[in-house]
Amino acid sequence: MATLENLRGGGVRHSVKNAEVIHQALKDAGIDFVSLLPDSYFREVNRLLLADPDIRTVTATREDEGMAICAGAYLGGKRPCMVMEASGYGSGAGVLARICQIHHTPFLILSSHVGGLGEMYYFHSETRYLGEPILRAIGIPFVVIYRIEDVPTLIREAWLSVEGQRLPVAVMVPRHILFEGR
Amino acid sequence: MKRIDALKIFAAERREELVITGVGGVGRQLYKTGHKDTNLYKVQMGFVSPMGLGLALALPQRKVVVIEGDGSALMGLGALATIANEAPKNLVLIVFDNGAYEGGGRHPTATAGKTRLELLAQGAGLEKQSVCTDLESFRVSLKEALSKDGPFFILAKVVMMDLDEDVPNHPFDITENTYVFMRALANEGLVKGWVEGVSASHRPSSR
Repeated sequence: MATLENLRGGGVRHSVKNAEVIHQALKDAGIDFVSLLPDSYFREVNRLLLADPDIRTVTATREDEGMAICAGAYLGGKRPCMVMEASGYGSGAGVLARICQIHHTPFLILSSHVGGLGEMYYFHSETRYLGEPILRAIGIPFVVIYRIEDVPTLIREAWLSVEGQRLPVAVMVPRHILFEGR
Repeated sequence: MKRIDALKIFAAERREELVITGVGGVGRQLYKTGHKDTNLYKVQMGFVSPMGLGLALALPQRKVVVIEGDGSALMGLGALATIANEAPKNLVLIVFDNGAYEGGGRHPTATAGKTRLELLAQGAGLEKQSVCTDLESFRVSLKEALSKDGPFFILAKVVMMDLDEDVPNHPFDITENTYVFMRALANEGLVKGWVEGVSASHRPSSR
């Protein structure tokens, strides 16, 4: 059984099984283009995405840059997804407001954490807390995944909203989904 | 070199390339000298190149030309590294460097001081590049970039617009411009057309 101490240290492991569920859900939703900025939470998801020959992946230098890459890919007929740490909403707010909302060039966003429960490091939480308020301020729908069983449905529905409303939609994944030893 | 004269050369040499420009005078001047429905104007500063990268990767069969100013390029320096490493053969970056935030009151940019964008691009890994200080060298570099595999980085040193130069704004808004651009891509067969709401091909049940 996990203790608080081994959660903080080497006892915590990424859930490969849940990463596979998320990866497959993205594929089933039709995602064929991903820009990402590596995040410890999504290590296993990113590993699967980078190894997937059906998904074009681009590693960006900043989250807002990756969002603009996704917007361009959408123009070119791709179904893009930005995979990032939740702190990326801070740097990405301008792109979400201007490029996505004015140009109508949306994409799916898969981000870690939600500014809610489970964050163990104070120096992460302050920037991650920005996510939901920023999305509300810009008017971008978002959903938090609390159960892995909901992943296929929520990612599929999120993409349908991206396509149908031409708005970015954020799917936020807390720690307990991405790590074992909860 | 005046930017509008270089853009006249671009308009003359351009064929089927898709074009994305930044904000300010550069997009208005391109509209005046060489508008096509496959021009997307007024992309946010700092994000013109990455948006062009996404488009180029999505449509490798078609050249994509990004046109922006030095202020915009400086704001998105990280994208130079991403573009160099992704190395799309069909992407051309043209930076018109007038050493100023022209639309922001002509305040000098870093390139008016010690900064050299061509060296930053070189350090990022963009090997095919040129610095153009006159119209003839710009024409030569442009023709090469449009006809050969890239990515290319062209830095064109230009003077600021004349204060009394009349370059009207676009007679359409950004959203309209984007839909016309997307429709043009669909008409050329580059992307599938879409219908209102979610197209049938995107519904999960159709897979």
